[in-house]
Amino acid sequence: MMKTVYLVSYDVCDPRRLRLTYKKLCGFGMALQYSVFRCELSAMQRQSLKEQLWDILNLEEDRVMIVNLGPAGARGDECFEFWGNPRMSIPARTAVIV
Amino acid sequence: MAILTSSAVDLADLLLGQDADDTVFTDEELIPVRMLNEFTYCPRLAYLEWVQGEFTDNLDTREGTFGHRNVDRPSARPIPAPTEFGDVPPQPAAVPIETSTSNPTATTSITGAEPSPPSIEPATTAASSPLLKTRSLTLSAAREGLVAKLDLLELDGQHVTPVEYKKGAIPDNPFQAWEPERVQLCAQGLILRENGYQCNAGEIFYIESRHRVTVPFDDALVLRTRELIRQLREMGRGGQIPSPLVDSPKCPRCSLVGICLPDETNLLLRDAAATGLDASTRDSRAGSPDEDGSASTNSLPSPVRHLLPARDDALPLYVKEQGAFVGKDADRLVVRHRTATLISVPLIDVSQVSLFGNVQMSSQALREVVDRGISVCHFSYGGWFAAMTTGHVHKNIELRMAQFATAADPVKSLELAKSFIVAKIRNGRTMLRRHATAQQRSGQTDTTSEPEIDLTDETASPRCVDAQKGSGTSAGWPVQAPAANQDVSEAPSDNRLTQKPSEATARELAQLAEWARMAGRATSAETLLGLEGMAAKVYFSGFARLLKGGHAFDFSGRNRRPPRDPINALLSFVYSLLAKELTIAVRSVGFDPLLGFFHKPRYGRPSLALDLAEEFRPLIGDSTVLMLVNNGEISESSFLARAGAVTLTEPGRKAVIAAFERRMEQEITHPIFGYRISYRRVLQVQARLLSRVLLGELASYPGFCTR
Repeated sequence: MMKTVYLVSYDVCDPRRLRLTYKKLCGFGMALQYSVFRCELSAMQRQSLKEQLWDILNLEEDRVMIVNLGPAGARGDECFEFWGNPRMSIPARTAVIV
Repeated sequence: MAILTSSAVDLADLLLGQDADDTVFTDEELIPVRMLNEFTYCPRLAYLEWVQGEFTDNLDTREGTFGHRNVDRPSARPIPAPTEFGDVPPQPAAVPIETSTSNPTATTSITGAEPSPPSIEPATTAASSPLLKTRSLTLSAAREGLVAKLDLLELDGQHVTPVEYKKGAIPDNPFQAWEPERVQLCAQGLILRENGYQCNAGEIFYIESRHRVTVPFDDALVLRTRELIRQLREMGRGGQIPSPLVDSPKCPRCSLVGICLPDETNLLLRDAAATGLDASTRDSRAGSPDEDGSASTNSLPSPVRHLLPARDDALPLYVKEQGAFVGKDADRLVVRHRTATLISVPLIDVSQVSLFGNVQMSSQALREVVDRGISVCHFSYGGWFAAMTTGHVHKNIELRMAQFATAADPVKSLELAKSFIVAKIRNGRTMLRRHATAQQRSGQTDTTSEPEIDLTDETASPRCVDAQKGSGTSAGWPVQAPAANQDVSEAPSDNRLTQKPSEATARELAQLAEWARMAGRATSAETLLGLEGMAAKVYFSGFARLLKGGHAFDFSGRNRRPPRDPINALLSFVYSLLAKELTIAVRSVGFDPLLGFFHKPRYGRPSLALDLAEEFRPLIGDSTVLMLVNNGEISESSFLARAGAVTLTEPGRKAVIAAFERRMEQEITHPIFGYRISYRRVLQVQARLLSRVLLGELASYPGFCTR
């Protein structure tokens, strides 16, 4: 099943919610910059993320932006350009053996 | 009996036929109204969920639940029982919908699209009592035999309206509602009536449209609902799973499609019926003339739709670093060694965890993975598959009962064992034949064209050809280097390969074909075991000729405990990994992995997994070994010999796991169903098909044989 790469960024107005949001997103992707994540998600995983963030956020004060960058392994990977020190390595799409 | 709104008395008697027999159902027998919705959608779906306890989410169900989040929290406020309104006789008051009930065809006159929440109008009927609302209310009705959780109930005096929340928009049909939802709502109405409320209509709130649609409980709907309840109850008693829908547009959106396998089951049932007619063997079935030509010329057998994802979203995690520690940090698994973090992966990307030897795992991490349905497989340092940690036992007790009954029946067990062994011998034969052809060809021509041989050579069945046309025969393959690796390795340089491969191989192929036939007719488990042994011997002598790499990889037959040469060490380890995969697969379907049909039960041995592994040993295990050796991914230095016993080194083991995983994730064209699917998914489908055989839906187990 093809996954889609999303850029997820957020403004959260409360320190507790901010911390919870950050931790939650760590479970869905990798942090690129402050409050900016790259997430590689299937449709179901995207729905999971939405459900779980809804439980954390107060949408009257906070906001989330989610940008569809395209399919993983294709445009979703190619559309990044970093100036300065990049904090991204595309995750391996094979079994992890350590 | 409670409230009757119809004026047509004789019809009403019919509808309320349950008045005649005073059946009162016990709590155990109550049907959840949601199940009635599923049953109306598809009887098989209701059977899977209700009788077998299967459930899985898809995007639709998850979005539906998310849309429900406001009504899923029960209200704290008490609601009055119907009697608390005083002794109003249950006479239907001036109910506007009643006019339509005398004429069942007039039900199309629903004007529910108008946002007319009862809070605006109905204060006229009971001016004294204000409109009350309550959310997530569970109610049952013993005489109807139903139980329901109402999303929202609006009470206006004694008059109540159930409101059902549905995701999506108002459907474009005369009722502005789908039948399953109307039936579900009507059943809620029946429950409310039995509890003494007046209920003549319900409403469906479409979340996307943000509109309510009124569903009047007219005679036609009540009659239909009662009939469906009766059918559902009968199905529950029958113990026989209903057939799948045929080519239904409902299937692609059904969350249980991967469990139900509608098109796959229909195809196998059709094939079984066809072979039953002309009493032909399995071989002729594969190329039966009625399947000739493309699907467009022959409209009868609809092609198997690709409703299953070709591969899983998540992938396995193997931890073999001695002394490592697997912990959980937020929603990630983190593997540490002393102070260093080796790796950290989001849990959503993990499908299974394998631990080798001295690796610790925190109980927090264990709890979390088990909650997510991820299995933890424990191996010894040397790769012996010792144990598996999973969550609770699967709910499908019906299947386990069938499994135990079948294992106790020698005749049925032998039938299954024969299917496994025949498939194994045939797959071994296919492997030798392919590689022999590849060697001959590579002797004369270049080797670059070889990768396709693995899957697309031969005159495959017309179904396969169709599927390949659809997905692009060769050029359109997903660019995946591992898939291509396998047969490139057949370089013509090795001298051992040139010693008359055709003659020796031809003899072996003929023998194997003969033994496969004999195995199919074996009349005792002993005969079968003997044939399997003879076939294995011949197969492995052919296999030895396919291996390259000089004396280091000399191989003169299978030995184990301990393996005495590198190839046997490789085979043992790969088979162990394969047993792990099948243990997970059969477990997720609901089997007891320890009770098999060919392998006799033994303490701690996953006999059923080993049974199913037979047909995949050549396809996955042996071909992984071949790939490792012939591609030079493993060398003499990857092994340690100690007193005649050979084991893999640490880097060697890592190379084997990597190669095995590449094979598991490789997508192939399914020989029967014709769609692209990864080997890992094939294992799941085979386990599922085996369950259908045990439950009596399929007559025989369709072994997985590539061509």
